[in-house]
Amino acid sequence: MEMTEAQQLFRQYYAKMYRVARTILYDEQESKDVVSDVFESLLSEGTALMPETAEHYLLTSVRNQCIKRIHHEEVRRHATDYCLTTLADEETEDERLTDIVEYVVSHLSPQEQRIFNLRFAEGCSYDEIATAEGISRVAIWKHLSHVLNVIKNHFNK
Amino acid sequence: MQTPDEKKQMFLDMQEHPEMYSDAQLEAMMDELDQTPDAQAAWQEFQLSHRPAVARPSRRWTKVAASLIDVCMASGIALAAIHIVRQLSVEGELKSPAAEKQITKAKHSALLADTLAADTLAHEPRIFENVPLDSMLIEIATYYRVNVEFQRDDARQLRFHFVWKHSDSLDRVVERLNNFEAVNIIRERKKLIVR
Repeated sequence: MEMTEAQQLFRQYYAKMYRVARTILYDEQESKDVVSDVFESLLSEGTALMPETAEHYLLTSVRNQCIKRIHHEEVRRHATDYCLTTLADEETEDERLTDIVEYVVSHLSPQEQRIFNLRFAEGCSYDEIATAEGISRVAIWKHLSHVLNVIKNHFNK
Repeated sequence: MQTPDEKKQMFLDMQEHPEMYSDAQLEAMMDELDQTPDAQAAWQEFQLSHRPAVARPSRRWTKVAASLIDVCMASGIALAAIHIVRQLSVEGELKSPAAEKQITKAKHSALLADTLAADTLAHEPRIFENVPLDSMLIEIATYYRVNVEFQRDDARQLRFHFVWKHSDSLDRVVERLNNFEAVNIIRERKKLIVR
């Protein structure tokens, strides 16, 4: 990817990317760094994005970068435990997470799925989501809270 | 004045127990989260710190006393986002849980001949332009000497632009492919599984 193309994408999607990172990480500087890391990677690897998939690619990359950072911190804090983790454990864990997600998503209402998608996959602001759903921002927060609590309760079992 | 730790703790607590906070407090938190730095200024900052191929260290995170969101939770958010996006985009409309179970999970394992020597392939980046995922993955899997299994037949026909560098590890290639919407590939020892 050329610098000019990166600049165009950066300007176009910065707000959405930053919002997704902040919703997951909360930390302002960390969220800025995540967006920068995504573009750093695109430039250094020469990745080309097609206009119709660029937005999804960028937002998915942001979520993945957030996980990497959290994971990195988890490993740092539990270095000893992590060394004991075998590849087989990771595969089992991956299957377990996917099963849980399928269960969780199937138990969310269509509205909760839409709201979750708008915030975490499309990087919409709370104002935009409230307008789209025709409910208050506080109601949006509470729906998202319910979804996150459902995910948390199932993933931490 | 709250410390960064305290603010983060409050953010997480508001997510978990919104009923404990007033509407004004929730509104204030949403205002804060939706404050976006100026993209132009952020770009200039990015250009100044642009160091190709050098990952930016996780400098601020370590200052936070504890990562209050654990990796399982974050993985759950990411996986749920992928799952929901796929449902919304592939099915066009949301299906009931019962209907969801009707989706056939046809499994097909494409066993590959393990005869192609990696060093006979050109080491220039391979550009896949609008190529179906099954053709793309078979070529990639052959190079890394692994097999491919498609658990969703519709995933075979996904098409996008992808630049594959032979110098990348297989894990890195899988990670980059997973950044695409509707692509979910996991790697087992000698197999790539498309879900």
